[in-house]
Amino acid sequence: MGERERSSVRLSRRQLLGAATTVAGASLWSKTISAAAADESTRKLVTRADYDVIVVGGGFSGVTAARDLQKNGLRTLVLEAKGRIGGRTFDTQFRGHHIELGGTWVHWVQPAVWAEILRYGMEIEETPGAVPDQLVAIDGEKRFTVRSAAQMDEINRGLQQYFDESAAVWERPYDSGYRWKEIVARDAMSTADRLKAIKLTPLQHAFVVAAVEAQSNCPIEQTSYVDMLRWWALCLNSPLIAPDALARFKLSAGTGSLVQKIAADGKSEVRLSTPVRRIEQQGGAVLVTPLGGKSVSARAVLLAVPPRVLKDIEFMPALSAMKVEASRNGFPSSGIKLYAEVKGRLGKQQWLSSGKKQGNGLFWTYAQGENSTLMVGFCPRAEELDANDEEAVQGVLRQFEPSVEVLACTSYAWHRDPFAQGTYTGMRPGGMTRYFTELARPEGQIWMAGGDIGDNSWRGFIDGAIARGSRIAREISETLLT
Amino acid sequence: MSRCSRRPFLVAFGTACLVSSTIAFSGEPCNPEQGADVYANKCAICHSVVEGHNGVVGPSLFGIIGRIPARAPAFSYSASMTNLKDPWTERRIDWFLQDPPARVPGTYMAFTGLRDPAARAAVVCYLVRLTK
Repeated sequence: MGERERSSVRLSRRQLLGAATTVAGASLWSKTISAAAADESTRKLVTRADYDVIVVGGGFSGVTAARDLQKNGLRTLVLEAKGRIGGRTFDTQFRGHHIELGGTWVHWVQPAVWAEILRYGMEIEETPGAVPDQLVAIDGEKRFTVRSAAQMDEINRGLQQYFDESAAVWERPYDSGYRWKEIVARDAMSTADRLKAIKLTPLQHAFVVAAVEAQSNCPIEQTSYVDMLRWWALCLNSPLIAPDALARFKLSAGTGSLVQKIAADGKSEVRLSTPVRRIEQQGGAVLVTPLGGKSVSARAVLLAVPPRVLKDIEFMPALSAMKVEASRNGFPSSGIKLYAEVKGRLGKQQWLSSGKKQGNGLFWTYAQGENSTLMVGFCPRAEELDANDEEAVQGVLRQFEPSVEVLACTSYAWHRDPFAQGTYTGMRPGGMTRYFTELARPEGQIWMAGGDIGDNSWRGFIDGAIARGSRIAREISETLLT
Repeated sequence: MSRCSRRPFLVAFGTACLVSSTIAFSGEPCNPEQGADVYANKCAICHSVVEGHNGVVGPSLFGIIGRIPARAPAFSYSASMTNLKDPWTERRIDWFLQDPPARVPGTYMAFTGLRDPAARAAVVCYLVRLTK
C-alpha cells in the first residue's frame, strides 16, 4: 500500500447552493432549483476564480509547489503569513557568522533537495563538528571523552542495537504502506520505550538518547519510535552515513538563497505578511480570506502550513475532526536550537548528554573565529532552557567542558512563533496509525502539503517539504488540467 | 550578563564620547556601548537599526522611543501590536522585553525575552541614543 488513494469529497447539495447564491443571488435558494442550474452556477464560479491555485504557506513546500504549478500553466498565488518566505528555515547573521536558525543540513541521500541544489547550482560547505576531533558524552555521573576507535565502535554498536528494526520496518522508507503492519505493531511505542527492550552501556546510552532527542527535537518519552526508525532507514541504516546526512553539509549561501531561487524561477505572485484567516469551499472553488484583507478565489488551494497551525484557520466546511485533533495533539512539544559563541578555538567538538544530571543536549562546532568557537546545538525542552541567557547556556555546556566561557548565545523561539508553533518533530506515539493518512488526505479542493505530511521519505526535513510540494503540485495539475 | 561598564561609547555615527547617564526608571547606569552589544547579540538576528530599512523579520528600531507601536514604515504587524496605543517609552520597552509573547499575546515576535534587568536597561539605553 502506498499513500492512500485520494478520496474526492463530493460536494453536498448545500455547498452547491451556497455557490449558486454567491454567483447568481438569493433567488437560487428556491426549492425548485435544478441540478443543472447548480452545475451551471458552479461552473461560473470556477471560471471566474481569481487564480487557478492559491498556495497557503511560503515555506519550501509551498514555494516549490507554486513553481511547479506555475510552470504547468496554472496561475498561482502564494499567501505567506510572515514578511519573508522560507517557513521554518531562516538564515541570518550572528556576531559575524552566517547562521541558520531553522532547517539547515542537506545531503545527496536526500533526493528532492539535492535535485534543487544541482538545478540552481548551489554550493555546500561543511559543519566542522560533524566530523569531530573530540567527542564528549555524558550519562549521569559518567563523562566519556571519546578518542579511540574502540569507543567509536562501542557507540556504533549501541546505535545499531537501538535501530535494529529499521531495515525491516521501513524496508522502503518512502512508502509507509509497504510494511504497514510492522509500523502498526510498533506505533504505540515511544523512543524511550525502545530503551527498555535493549541493553546499552553508559556510553551508548548517552549517545543514543542525545542523538534521538536531537533528531526528534523533543524529549525522548514524547516521540514515536517507529517514526524515528524511518529516519535511520533513510540514512541507509548506517551509523557511518547518519552523521553526514543529518548534520554535516549546509548551503554556503544559506537556505534563504535556495528558496528565493525556487520562487524566482516559479514567477508566481507572492503576497507576504498575509496570514490566512478563513478558507471556504464554494461549489468547486475556494475562497481564501486573509486577516484584514480582501478574499481571493481559486479553483484549488494547496495548504503548506505547519500542521500545528491548521487549527488556527477557519474552514468552511470544517476540516475533518481528525485533522484538527492532529493539529492540536499529534505532534509533541518541540525543543530549541541554539547557537553559542564560546571563548577560544576549541576545534572540532561534539558534545552529547543524556540529561540524567544536567540539561540534555547535543552540540557541535558550527564555525571557528579567530579566538572563538561557534557551537550549534539542540536541547529537547524549549521551556526549560532560556537559550538567550548566557549563564544558563554556559551551565549546560560546562558539563562537557568545565572551563568553557559563553560570550554570547542566540536562538529563534519557533515554539512561540504563531505561524510555526514549533520546529520539526516526529509524531507522538500512535500518530502514524491515528493521524498520518488523514493528515495527507485532501478535502474537496483543498490539498495537503508541507514538510510534515505524507510519504515523502525525508518528512520533517527541507527535502520532505520540497518532495511533498512537488508531488501535490503534480496531483493538482493533473486534476485541473484534465 | 555582566553589569554595564562605564567605558566611553564611540557613537556609531562617528562623533563624540557620550557620557553615561542613568536609566531613569531602573536606576541602572546607561551605557550605550553595552547596549550595542546586547542589541548585536539578541536583537540583530531579526531587527535593524537603520532608518527606513527593516530587518530580516523585525522592524527597524531606529527612532522607536516615543513612537506609537506598530508604526515602522513598510512592516506588517500583528493585530495585537497594532492595537497598542501608548507610545514606546523606556519603561514600556523594558516591560515588553521581559517576555514579548506574554506581554503582548498574539505578537509575531518569537523571542523568549531578556531576563536580565541590566541587559534590558543597556539595550533601552542604546535605543534611546538611536532616537536622539
